[in-house]
Amino acid sequence: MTFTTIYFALFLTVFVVLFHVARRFPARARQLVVVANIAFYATWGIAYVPLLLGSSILAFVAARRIDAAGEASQRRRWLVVGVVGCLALLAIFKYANFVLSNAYVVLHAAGWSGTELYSDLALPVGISFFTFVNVAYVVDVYRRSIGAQHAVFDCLAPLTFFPHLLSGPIVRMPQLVPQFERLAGIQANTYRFGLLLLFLGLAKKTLAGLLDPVAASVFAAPPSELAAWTSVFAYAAQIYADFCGYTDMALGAALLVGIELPHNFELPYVATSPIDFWRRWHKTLSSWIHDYVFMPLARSSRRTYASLLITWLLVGVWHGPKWTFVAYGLYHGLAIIATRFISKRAPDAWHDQAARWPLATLCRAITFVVVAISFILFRSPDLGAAARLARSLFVADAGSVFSYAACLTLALVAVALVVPHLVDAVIWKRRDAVQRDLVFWPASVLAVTFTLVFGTNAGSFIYFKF
Amino acid sequence: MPVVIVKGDGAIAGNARPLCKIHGNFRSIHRSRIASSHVSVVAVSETREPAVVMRAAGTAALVLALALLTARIFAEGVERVVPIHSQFSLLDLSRTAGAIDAAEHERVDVAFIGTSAVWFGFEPRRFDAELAARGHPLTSFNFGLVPTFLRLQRFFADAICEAHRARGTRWTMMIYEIAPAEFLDKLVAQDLTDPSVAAYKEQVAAMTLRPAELVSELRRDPGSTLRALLAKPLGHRGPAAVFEAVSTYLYEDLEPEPWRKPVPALLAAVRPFWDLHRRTTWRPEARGFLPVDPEARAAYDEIMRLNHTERELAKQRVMATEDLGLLPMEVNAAAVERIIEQIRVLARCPERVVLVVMPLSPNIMRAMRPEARKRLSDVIAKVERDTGYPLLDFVDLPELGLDDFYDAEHLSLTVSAGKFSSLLADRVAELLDYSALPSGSAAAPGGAGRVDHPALPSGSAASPGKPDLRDR
Repeated sequence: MTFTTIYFALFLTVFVVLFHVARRFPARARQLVVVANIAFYATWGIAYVPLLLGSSILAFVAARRIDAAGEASQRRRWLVVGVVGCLALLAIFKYANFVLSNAYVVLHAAGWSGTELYSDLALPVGISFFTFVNVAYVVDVYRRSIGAQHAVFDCLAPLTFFPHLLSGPIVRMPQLVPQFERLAGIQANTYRFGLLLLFLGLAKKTLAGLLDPVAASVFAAPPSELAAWTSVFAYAAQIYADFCGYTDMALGAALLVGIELPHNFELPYVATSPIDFWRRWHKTLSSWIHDYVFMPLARSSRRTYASLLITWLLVGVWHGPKWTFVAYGLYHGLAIIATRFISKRAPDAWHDQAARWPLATLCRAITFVVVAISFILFRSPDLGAAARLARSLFVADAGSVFSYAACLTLALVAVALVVPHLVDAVIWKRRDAVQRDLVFWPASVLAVTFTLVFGTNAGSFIYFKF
Repeated sequence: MPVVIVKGDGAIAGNARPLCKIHGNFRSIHRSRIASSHVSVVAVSETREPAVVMRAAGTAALVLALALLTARIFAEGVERVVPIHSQFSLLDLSRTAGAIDAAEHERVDVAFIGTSAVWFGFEPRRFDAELAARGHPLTSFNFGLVPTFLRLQRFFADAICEAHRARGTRWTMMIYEIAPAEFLDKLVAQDLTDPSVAAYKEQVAAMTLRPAELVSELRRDPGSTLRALLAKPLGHRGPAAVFEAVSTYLYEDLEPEPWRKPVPALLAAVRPFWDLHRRTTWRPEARGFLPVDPEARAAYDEIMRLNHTERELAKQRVMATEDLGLLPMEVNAAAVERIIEQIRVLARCPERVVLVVMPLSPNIMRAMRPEARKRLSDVIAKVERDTGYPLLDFVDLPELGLDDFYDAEHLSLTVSAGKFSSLLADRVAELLDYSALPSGSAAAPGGAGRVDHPALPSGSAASPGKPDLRDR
């Protein structure tokens, strides 16, 4: 059940009504949330509900034991049990075949003549996201950032809260637990913002669906340099509209029951450097990686650049068990290291200039191109295909054709890149203003109209496969 | 819980105190009641929740209603602004909407359902006149539909059938076209993979959704029914069709002169012909046929001339070979079974069923190899045998020459639609005459459109696939 279906609209309506009926009895309300979470996840395959519950209950038990343990060694033991247990499930379901197939390649090259082993476990939707949420919970309890939940429903309600379950944002329990304990309910000025986010998310998903053929056709067979660049930019616009659209809908759905999830995007394509980009793109993943991977690594090794490279390698691997994602992580890791290296050595005058618009605009343009090129790795089926498309950006087999159609497509892609950023700039910077009638009604009606008129069966969200 | 009171600029008023201490739930505070204190309420921490939930639901419903209205206005605007030749999908859907409306509201005795070959080739008024002259005063309709996709055509045929059943009456006769292309591997493969099929189906589902059936449809398939309900206010202007019209307009009609490539002569002739048809090709007075008006005659004649140059005829043969797969005639057995099943399903609508294979251009028939023709004959015979309904095979009609055809599969609207309708009326009249005769009468005559079955099984009384032999 994706967020863009009629079934989700019905599910959400029923859930919101029942939640507000049950809210006077917070324990009951949290139980209702857990039931809704399980029902929502079961629509993606009932067989994987035990996996979701198993991972979350493991985190719950480990956190309780850490909280209750008196000795540091006991706390550490339960930390390891919780973190390794959750990550092991992720490894088995997501990376088993990657490891097996690459091991086979190595062994086969070394002369081994056995048959290739293959795991037929399907990838459960959202496993990368809920695993990170669970791991973060165990670590936060270990770090005493938050106390452990003592009732299983009180823990599972925020851990498995359905709006963030499938594709984030990757929440932290210190953000959610107080809200679930209080269950403040919907505020009169909140539901409008929630509805607006739902409508805008729908419109962004529709836009992503419209961009898909532009990106897909040229990714399949790039005909010219201009078409190849158009395709790369179209995919950058598509992935932003798709992922940000999903996040908006998740935030909107949660706001309808008075729960505020963390924002995941902050105008990523106006970033002035790769470091700035990751502060704006998939913010909850960046901060998770920073807090739970990079900082521990950097503190223990005292080698910043090596820690950065390992961290970004893991970010790539997190996206998927493919060499293209490994390369994607490395690409961004190297870009961040290069930025940091240059930035550390640049004179102060350069930093002053960088804040001014001509240089800032140039930095933004370069960063956008660097990021857009990285999505070739993200989208391509293998490294060979990625290399072919990357080559066609500069040396196309067919030569560039500056036709009207090619230029119009590029212009439309530019509009598709700019408009969602403008919309986000307004709604997040002027949150109070957009709830006024003069803004709310036209924005909502336009967003839904766009979906009704141009909505196609665009399929699942891109990040669901992670 | 305290009420947060702030100044207009968002800063907490230094000397402002809450207007009143409010305990428990309250609905809202109107600005007018606190205007004198120059403050406004921007956040209320507790409210009467059922009221807020109701307001949220009401707001969502109102947004949806306004969006539907805006979408309708936008789609209608597209229809008016974009030239007809750039909105074929909208035109197709408007024709389908007209056909469904006619099936539901008009008197229909003979419904001829099929592809665009029927649309171009069957002139109801001529057919009716010929039948009336032979003592069978009936009213026929041309339900030849445009969609290229075979699955869609079957879907539309069902929609027309259901629309008529809503009247509570049955057609005296359904003539159903068996298109040779429907048997072919190539087209079947294309048909199953095209994503636009789903979009069209959803739009027609919306057009045919009736309030009386809403509850039963919601029970049967809530998701599709709700989607249809949302698309219904758009009329025949489905999202895919509007998108196609807008993108064609942007990419073709708005192309600036310096960039524009020379338009091929055939396309240059086709565009003004279609632009004359305003916003629909369904003419109620012509009962689905498209008579070529005097103002469109010159444009149509030009298209016919250009379609018969040696170059175009060669292109048609290539298209028939490569796109349609008519020349190799590789028959897909599963597709044949689906067609047979479809005929049996549609037999619920008329009292009698007659199957027809429409003529193919001599340009194609001459190029077809004997083994391909044999495969075509075999499959036609199989459909006839398995359905048990009489089949009129006009595929290679000696009465029609190359000039009678618009292209490979379509008869000329001006030259041969009338001629074919007369021939068809002849054969149908024979069937009607024959069925009125007592058993043991003479067999039907042979020749083109030969009546292979001496009886017309009743679609109503006979169970599907089992012909009713009472008339024999």
